[in-house]
Amino acid sequence: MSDKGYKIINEWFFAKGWNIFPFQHDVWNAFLSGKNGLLNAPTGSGKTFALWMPNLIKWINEHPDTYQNKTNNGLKVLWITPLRALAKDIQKALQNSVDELGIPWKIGRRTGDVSQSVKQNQNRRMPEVLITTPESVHILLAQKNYTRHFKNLDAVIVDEWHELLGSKRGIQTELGLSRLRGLRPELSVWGISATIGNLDEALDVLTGPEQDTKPTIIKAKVQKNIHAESILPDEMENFPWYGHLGLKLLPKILPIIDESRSTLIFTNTRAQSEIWFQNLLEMRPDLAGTIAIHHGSLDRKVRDWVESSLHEGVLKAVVCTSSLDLGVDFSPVETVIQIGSPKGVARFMQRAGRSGHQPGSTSKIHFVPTHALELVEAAALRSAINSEEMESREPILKPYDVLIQYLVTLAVSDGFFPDEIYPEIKKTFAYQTLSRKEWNLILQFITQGGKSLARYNEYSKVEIEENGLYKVNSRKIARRHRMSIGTIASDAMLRVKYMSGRSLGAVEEWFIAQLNIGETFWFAGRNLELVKIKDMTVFVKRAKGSSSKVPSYLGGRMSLSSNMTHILRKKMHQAVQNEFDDVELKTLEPLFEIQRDWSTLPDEDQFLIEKSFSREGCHVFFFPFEGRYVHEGMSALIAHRLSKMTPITFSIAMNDYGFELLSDQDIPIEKALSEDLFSSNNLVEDIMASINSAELAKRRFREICQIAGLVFQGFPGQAKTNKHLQMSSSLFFDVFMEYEPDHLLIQQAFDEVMSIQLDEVRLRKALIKISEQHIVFNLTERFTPYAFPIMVDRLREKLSSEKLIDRIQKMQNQLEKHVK
Amino acid sequence: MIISHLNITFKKQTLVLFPQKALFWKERNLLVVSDVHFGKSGHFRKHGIAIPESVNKSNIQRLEELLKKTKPSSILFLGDLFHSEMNAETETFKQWRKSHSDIEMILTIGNHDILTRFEFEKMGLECTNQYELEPFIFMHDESEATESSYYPITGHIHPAIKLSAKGRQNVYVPCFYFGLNHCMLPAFGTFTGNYRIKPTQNDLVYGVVDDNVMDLSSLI
Repeated sequence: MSDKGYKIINEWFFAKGWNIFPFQHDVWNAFLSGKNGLLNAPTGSGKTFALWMPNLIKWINEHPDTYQNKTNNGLKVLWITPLRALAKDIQKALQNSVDELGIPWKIGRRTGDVSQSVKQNQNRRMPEVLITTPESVHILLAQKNYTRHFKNLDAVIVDEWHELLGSKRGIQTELGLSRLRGLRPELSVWGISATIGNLDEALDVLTGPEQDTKPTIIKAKVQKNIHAESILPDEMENFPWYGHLGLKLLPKILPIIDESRSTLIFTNTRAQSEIWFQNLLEMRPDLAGTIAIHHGSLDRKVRDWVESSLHEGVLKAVVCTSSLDLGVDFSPVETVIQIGSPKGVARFMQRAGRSGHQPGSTSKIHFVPTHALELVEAAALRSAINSEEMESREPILKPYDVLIQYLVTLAVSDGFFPDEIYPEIKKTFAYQTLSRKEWNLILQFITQGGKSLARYNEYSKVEIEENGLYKVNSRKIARRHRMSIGTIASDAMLRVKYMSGRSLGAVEEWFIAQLNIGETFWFAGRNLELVKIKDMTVFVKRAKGSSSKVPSYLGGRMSLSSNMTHILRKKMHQAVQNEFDDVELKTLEPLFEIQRDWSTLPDEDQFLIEKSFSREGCHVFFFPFEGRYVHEGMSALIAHRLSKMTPITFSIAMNDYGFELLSDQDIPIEKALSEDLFSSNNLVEDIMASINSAELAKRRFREICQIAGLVFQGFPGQAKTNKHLQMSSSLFFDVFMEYEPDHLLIQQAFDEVMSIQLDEVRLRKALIKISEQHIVFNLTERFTPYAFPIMVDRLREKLSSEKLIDRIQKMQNQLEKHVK
Repeated sequence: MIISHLNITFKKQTLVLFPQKALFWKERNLLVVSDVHFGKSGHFRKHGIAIPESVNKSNIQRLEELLKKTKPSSILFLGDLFHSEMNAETETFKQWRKSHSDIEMILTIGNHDILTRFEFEKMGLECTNQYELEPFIFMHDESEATESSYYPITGHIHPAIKLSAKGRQNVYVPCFYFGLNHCMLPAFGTFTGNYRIKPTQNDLVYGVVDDNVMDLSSLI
């Protein structure tokens, strides 16, 4: 390269005293030769400039004499990031570089937290670069006359693509790209991704499966040293067998906090972070003012303050959730502490990487188990780091709900012609197999409401104009749709504010509903008293004394990745063999002894089943060690097969190691084992039948309802007036199941249960493995160390083959017996 | 399945509880139906949310079944008869009303009944806020002020109760609730949710279980 653009950028790097890394060169060359591609590089490796500079080189080369004078060039580069917190930093870095180079480009930001006036200025005059989120891209597409924004667009960069891939936000990105490519066929599309198991596929999803020029993957090959260490209990005898908070080991992390300049403490849920923060303060009041809390429900301003304080190094420790997984470089952070299982190798490494951010330095992470068996996971994680086995992010295929939302988005702005949009959608990875028939059903759904030929009475969302244009004409519907663009399903949230008006964040409506005026709760690291609730806002004041209530949030019930379960079983095998090379396994030795004593310590070729009785009824435990998601499907399947033998009602619980069936009556497991209980024959039929009754599909349907626009959360601050349009997704589900069971969205709910939730492929493999294992069946007198953590889980699935009326009569009979 | 109702005696009156979620007062030959929310599915459709029409039809069907069984001289709608303004589904109701011109129909107005009295009366519904008939007083919402000493029978809440059993089993069942101070009827409408109530020991609770009405008072 000897052109002017390259020379100028090269000199700029030199003047800054920076080296151009080889991978940056490679990206520049590939980009400038017109290729699309994917850069595989971790945070803090110079990935931003790898993809930013070629845009400037191109600009200078195209305007060698006027590149410092031309203003008002229209939107040239769209930079998509999954996290709005990242947008600011990128904006600053890019703006600095053009300012120093004397290029009069404007770098703008357009995310949910950018003010309306800034957005309106952008609408009148787009900056040359816009940093934005997938949702905001779609909101742009929902604007009248949106094509004017994109007529000069040259490139789209998708940052942290691995975070989007595998989620419906990824689908949203694919659809947005498909439209932009339709408008600008020569568009350059590049992604940036951390290391995942399926990089090739990640590239295909980003660029679409059929490309004229073959896209390329460039790897940064930046070595990262990670030092992982477990915090071990002093006495195994007193360490709990179950639990998810891990407070028992809190005293042991205090010296770690004291010794490092700054520490990030990762928890798995928002509630857990609140509780840890509260307990840290109680144990070490002297830390007040130097420790902070950070999670997704806190007000943007509060989070911004924490982030900038971390950056400046004035905070000793921050208790956080995945909200700080990504993002800004916190160089003062020297140590990371992970509370509880991170469930996957990639997440653990990502979090470890938040410390020792400078290239070449070592990242330090401490693992704090919340219950005994989690120590096995700690050992497994360390092995995984050494072998660098990363999980794959499986892309979602053909979700109807996101496509429905996208088509209504287009209909809301300028309307669309199906013949123009269908080919664009067919070119995306997600919808490459979308058939004409499915396409027509979706068009029918948005125009007529249902699949039947007869139009739903008075239904009009999208109307077909005389020239064949699909368009939303109702301003109310358009406004409501714009408000609900997005694919992250959420509960109705209430803002939490001080009486003075200062906002603290948001909590789920159902949590506040349990509280009375004057009661106290713990939120945003403060003890608060509920003063009043008005117009979707909870007014609070500081409370004295301590309170026990912490908003709990569902979620955080993720499954171990198949990667992790694989290594976990290897570790279990080592335990059976008494190979205690890992200090964690060594610590667990007494626990393994108890398990062996009371039941069996299963080896890799054994499948353990335990049965025991308590006042609650009959418990049967199964231990496949396959991760929560597989257990979810397998438990429903086994419960269903058992329920075919006799009318019976189960309540089902599971964790990553196994699952439990609990019934008020004796479970005929001995008889079932003599028949083929774990057969993979009729698998699909049996699962379909079991998810039907186990209500798994209903839960999936909740998200689908929101994305497809059936459930509307209300406008901010005026949700009340929309109450007449609010209905729970479970009621929608019941109505559709009864009156239109072949409804498009119901189909999707079942498909998602099969492919995403239960992961049919993994489940089938697991069943085949069981058929090759030797079944060990034990009647146990007490709940074993393996069974206990499952037994205490209160969040349960249900499956019943009894008639409701029989069940209630049984309740009455039980009661009469009791009275007698 | 056999559809069975339940006869109870309350305040020396014979009340028949139907699994269609309606109450029939034998002595007065009066059918009481609460929270039908007619036109709700149409209202949703009008606002761009697709709900099948059959939802509304099932409301009419169940009303017809009840008329055949009880042959009432009057029907009392206990408020929230309509979900919102007029739409095609409320038209269906008007037609249905016409086809039973011999039956007196009364509406105690509820929070969702936003049409004017004139409009209700035009379709042959007698309108009132509270309807007294010894020993009961009927109204939509029990929190409304009343000076009557009669026992209030109300709707509005869409009551349901939670039943728990051994083996950590829970079920939710819509119910008729007869408390010390007032009675609440379950919502008749197909497309309506439920609200869990927590009855106390001496309350009488009758649950709608599949196609039966069962006395659940002992399970509280």
